[in-house]
Amino acid sequence: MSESKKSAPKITLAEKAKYIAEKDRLLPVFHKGKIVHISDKEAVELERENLSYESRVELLRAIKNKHVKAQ
Amino acid sequence: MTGVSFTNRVPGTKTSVGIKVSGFRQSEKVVVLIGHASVAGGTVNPGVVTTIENFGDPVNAAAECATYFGANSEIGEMVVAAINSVLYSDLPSKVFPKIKVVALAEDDDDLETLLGSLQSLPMPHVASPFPITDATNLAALKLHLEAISGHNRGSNGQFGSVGYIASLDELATASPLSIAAGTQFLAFPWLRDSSAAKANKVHEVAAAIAILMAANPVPYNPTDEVRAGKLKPPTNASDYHSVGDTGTVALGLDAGLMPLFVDDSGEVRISRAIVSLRTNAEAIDDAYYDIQDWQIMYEYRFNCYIESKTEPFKNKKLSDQKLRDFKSAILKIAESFERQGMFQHVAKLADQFVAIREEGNRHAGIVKSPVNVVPGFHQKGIDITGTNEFDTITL
Repeated sequence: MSESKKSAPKITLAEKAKYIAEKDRLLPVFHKGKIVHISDKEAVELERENLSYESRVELLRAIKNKHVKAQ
Repeated sequence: MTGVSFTNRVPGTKTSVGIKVSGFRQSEKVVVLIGHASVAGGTVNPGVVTTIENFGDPVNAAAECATYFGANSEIGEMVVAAINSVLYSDLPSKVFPKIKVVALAEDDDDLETLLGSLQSLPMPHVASPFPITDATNLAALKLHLEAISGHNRGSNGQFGSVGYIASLDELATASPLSIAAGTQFLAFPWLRDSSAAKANKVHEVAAAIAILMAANPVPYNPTDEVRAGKLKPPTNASDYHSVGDTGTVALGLDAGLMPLFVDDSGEVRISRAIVSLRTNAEAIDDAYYDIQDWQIMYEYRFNCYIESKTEPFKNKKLSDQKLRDFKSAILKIAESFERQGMFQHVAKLADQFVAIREEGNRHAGIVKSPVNVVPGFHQKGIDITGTNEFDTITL
């Protein structure tokens, strides 16, 4: 297997964590049935269990893209 | 009167009506495409407005654009993408809008200067070649469309306009830009594509969606799930939008984006055609403002304007009698819109249609119409600031 075909390191969401976006990014996610904005202004606490299925995917994607980070 | 008799009818005579089918039917609607010419350029100078003759033929249109703007130009790609979008769409009624094109020079990214020279060009639907991340050109288009959509533009205006700026970006990148722009004059078709080799170019996406909106005929039905012909799905399936109540379609719409999703046969479709305007953040749920509802209101404004410029209202002093007669005339327009399925409850809301003098200018008349007559447009009326119950035009 060539180097580029190696699987990327897995990122997992903590059960509960605070998330903040990098400058000028904003990620909306569904948490507890409502839309919550992860912005660059203030960290928001999210529970993995209360994120919608699609929002978990989006949050992981944003972390991978370095648009959002867990504190 | 002679020669008319009820006894000389000939029951056996057959009558036939031949309908000559002569190619595609072009609609009265217009889409304006702005894009770059090629380095070499062609016969049409940048900044000159040109109408594409081959409005329904992507192959001939490509050749036409190569002559006008040089081979493989960005503007040529937009024209082809636009025609394909309508040609292969599944809009219930297919009409081909008039395509007007304006080129920027190949190395010119100054949209503001170009638009400044086009202030008399009506552009009810206009596609920009620049992405949503180009803040300068986004602001320039927004400012221009706000200005030319003013009610005092006369026959050079269009009483409302929508600009299309596409995005291939990640949700975290596109959503703050859309929320910040938030205007009835801009729509942001969003087809996420994280691949280095994008399946579509951003200007092609803008052109394809702009023309579909212009191609949507009266009574401006919703374009939910309408196919954007020949737009390609993003290279990576992981970029496809997730549908459902909590997917990226819902999140994108909430941020004022217009997500384009990929169906199970790989076709790119409009989730819901909205402008980027959002209700106030204090509201529990955001309401969407659909492009087709604005189109109805813009067409109604245009009809009111035309009525004011025809007999018996043309060149007459603004008397109380004229205002009363004009209210009667606009109610007839509204009833006609209701018969065509664009308005509802006109008789019930008749008292709310108003034609009055403008306070600051006694020579000007104002027409106020309740926005609730447009089905589905009530969100404008229930905006929590409570100031948008009426759509107002000054004549």
